[in-house]
Amino acid sequence: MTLPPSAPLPDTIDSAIYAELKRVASHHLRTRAAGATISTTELVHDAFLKFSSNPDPRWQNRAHFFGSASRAMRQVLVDHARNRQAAKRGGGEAPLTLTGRDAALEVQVDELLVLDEALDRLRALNDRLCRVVELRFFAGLGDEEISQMLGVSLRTVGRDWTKARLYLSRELGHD
Amino acid sequence: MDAERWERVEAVLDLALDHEPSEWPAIVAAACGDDHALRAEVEALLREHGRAQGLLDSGAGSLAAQFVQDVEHARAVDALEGTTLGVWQVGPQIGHGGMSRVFLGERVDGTFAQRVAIKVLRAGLDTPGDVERFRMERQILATLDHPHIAHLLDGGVTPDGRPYLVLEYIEGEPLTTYCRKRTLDTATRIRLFLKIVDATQSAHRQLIVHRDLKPSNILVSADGQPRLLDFGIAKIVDPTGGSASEATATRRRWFTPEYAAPEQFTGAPVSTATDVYQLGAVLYELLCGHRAFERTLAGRPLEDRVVPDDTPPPSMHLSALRGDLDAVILKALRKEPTARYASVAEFGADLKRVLDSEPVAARTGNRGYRWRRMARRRALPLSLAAAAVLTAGVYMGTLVVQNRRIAQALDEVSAERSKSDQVSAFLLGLFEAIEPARGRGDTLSARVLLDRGEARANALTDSPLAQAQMLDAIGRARMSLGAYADARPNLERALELRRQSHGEVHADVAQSIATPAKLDELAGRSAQAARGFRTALARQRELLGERAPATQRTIFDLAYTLHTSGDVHSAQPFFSELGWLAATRPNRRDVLYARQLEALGEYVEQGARGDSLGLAVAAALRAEAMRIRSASAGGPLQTSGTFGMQTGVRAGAEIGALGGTQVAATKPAPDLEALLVGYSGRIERTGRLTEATPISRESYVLAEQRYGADHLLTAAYLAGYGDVLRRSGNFVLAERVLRDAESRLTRTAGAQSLMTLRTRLFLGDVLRAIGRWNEAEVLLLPTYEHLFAERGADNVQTQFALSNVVRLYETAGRPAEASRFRALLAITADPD
Repeated sequence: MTLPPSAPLPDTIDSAIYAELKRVASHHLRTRAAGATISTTELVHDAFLKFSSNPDPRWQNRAHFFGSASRAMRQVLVDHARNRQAAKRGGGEAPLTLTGRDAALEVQVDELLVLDEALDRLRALNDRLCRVVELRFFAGLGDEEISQMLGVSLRTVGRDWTKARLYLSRELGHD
Repeated sequence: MDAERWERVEAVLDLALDHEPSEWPAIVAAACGDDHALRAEVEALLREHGRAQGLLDSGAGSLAAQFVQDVEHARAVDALEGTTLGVWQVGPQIGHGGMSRVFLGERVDGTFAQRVAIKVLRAGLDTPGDVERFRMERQILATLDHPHIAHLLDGGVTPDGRPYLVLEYIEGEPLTTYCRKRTLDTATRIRLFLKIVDATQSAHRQLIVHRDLKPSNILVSADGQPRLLDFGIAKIVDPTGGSASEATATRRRWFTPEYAAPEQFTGAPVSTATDVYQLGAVLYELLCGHRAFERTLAGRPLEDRVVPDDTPPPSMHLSALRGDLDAVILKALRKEPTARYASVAEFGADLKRVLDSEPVAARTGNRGYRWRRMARRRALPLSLAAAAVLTAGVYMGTLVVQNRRIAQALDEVSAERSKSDQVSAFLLGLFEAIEPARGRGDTLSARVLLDRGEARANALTDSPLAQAQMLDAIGRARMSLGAYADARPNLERALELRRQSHGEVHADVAQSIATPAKLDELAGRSAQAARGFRTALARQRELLGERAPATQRTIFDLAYTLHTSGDVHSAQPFFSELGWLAATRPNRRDVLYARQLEALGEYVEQGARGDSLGLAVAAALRAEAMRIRSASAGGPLQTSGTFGMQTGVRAGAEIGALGGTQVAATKPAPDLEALLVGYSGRIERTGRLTEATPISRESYVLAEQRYGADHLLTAAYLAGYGDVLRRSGNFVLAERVLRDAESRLTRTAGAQSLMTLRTRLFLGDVLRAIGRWNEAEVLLLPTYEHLFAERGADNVQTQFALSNVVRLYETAGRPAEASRFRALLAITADPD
């Protein structure tokens, strides 16, 4: 895995991933009752399945692919969350009622942005912990895949996640 | 923190995470050495372990899906921007909600400039029900005319058939933000809030319930005036109690969970009381900066907490709110709609009383509310196992210690109140008469002085109340010196005098009933003591409220009496109530408070064997106590030692014992002996008796150093030590220690006190074990008969005595007597 921590992502990757994510998400939305919780990793994973068959040589290196993809996913989500919040602030806070689900979403959006900032801090402390979080949280990968990708033992992945989670949990708790 | 530092943190984390959480404190302490900052950092991180993190644990998938949905909705509605609806030009979207989107609008018919908010039903939500709901909002707004409610200006239908409303555009900030940015004081905030109370009341007069009151629906504009908006889920109530618009209102449940009343979660009928609750929730946040129930990233979802959980008083976040504002806000936030203010007008009136420093209705009208609520929820089963715990060895020492710790904490609370108390002035005067050469705390001179005071009091026949007060003070002083027989006539006379002057319904009379009940308890007359405490308590609840120090003291005395007499079941709710009162007591960051919580935790745990709720409560009390201890001044060693002892972790406790000894060498550790006895009890319960023995002895030695040889506590610790010796089979030493303890207890607590009786039972059992059967019989039988007569056949203490008697006859080879007594055994009282 050679991806430098803050390598800029090509626009094409962003939009390709976004388009695929959107397609899968719409599919899930259509096929489920309104308000039903959508399975999490399932959704992201489905989106990435498409890329695994992409003939583009850049994606032949599996580790490289998932590394980039998870970071792209993080970027897409964070950008969107920021836009939402900016729109809210611009309007002097919406004088409108949210359904319970909307309110929950607002909280998750806030959490995501806090998480994003905390992840940057964590990256400065230990880059690998940050990558484990990106692969697991944003890309929905399992420990085994992550372990192969990063070339470390399964136990190390689990331990890294635990430590990263302790760190992030504390950062999230003090927002 | 830099990467290098983090590397060290991770190294310690790795060490700890290889082991069970119970071992963490010791491992972390050892690994960090003198680096306190490192240790604090690691401990803070480890505290996050096991804490649920909703988003983090669920992954980003669902969020992604929601965002996609967002984008699709936005596209559908964006088409409206730039078009014209009636005389209104649609501007950019400024908000969105569950049902609709809001655009900025401007008047374009050239008459005058006016900015408005245009609310359009969301695309896709155009079923008849949704349209009806929207129509309802329009109808409601049309009937409302109040300076603090945003007005309806116009309405219509878009070209694609969706209804819209045109509303007064309020350019402002949510009430909470507005106040926070300007750091307004509490009174100003309340005055702003009262305007919204008034607006809500005017809606109620039109039979309209808002149902969605929250800060973002209350905007304060530049002129400083608050406006209530968004009647989008409001409904018209039927004054006869039904609901005129029930069909549409409940077809789909819309609400904002952070501010929703319990009935909105459960689906019970919504009424004006719902708005009372929501206003209470808004005021809560407005005054203390926190929501009553916060949607946290960790823990259970709001819907699982709002209905069952007690609302934490706002003073927990901001101690300045304790007292009236706590009471007023909590009354608005009652779970049961009927327990809240009967109307928002009454809520407002009570708030005005707060501003005018008049007595509030919330404090007088709700006596015992919390108590009833708690008693209902925490009905603990009487478990035989729980009762059996009472008969376990070291528990006796623990009992005394915990009793004393709670009593101290309660006394501290009382002391805040009674600084100017005449009684203390009187006693002070009495003691000032001591010649300076006399040693401090010399009980002989104190007794002489009290005799002198009694003579002086008896001369005060002209003013019976002053006389009563003096006699009461003298009686209590004698009690604290252990002169029970002398104390009783003083106390009884004080009661008599007070009754003559005040009648029955008076706080002093209640107090005068409670004090001699304490004497009964000390003398082992539990039933009589409990009766006295109950009578006093009922009066005190009524006259003083449950938070008054005197009331809490009586609650405790009653609970303790019931508990020690074996009626764990009845005692439990009272301990729970005390725990609740302690945990919600403001300004409670001191060690004294921590000790009180530990003590209550002990009782709850003792009564909660096999009851996971009780165990969880006990653990929570301990954890809270631990947190306070770590935050207070104690050195790191002592802190970790405390933790180790409390949790019974051996390594931690050894560090702690070391630390405690070190601390004790320089300054007296405030309650090391109590911690030690608790720790030894924990070890004993795990069956490691040889380890418990030296610790138990140490607690006795420390107590003797601190309190002297002839002190009740010292005697109790000594008895506890003797019992550990008995259990570990060291009978020779056990006999000597128990005999010593028995005679000291007889002197300090009385010959028939429960502790003395139990010590006799322990001693009898020792004699049985070494074959001195006749001596054992002489001790055991009368003790059993006494307990039988005083407490009844089924009492745990009686049963414990009985089990000793049975064992004696079995060992002594007298099977006929053994089986005769065995038939009386109701439960297996003692495991050993």
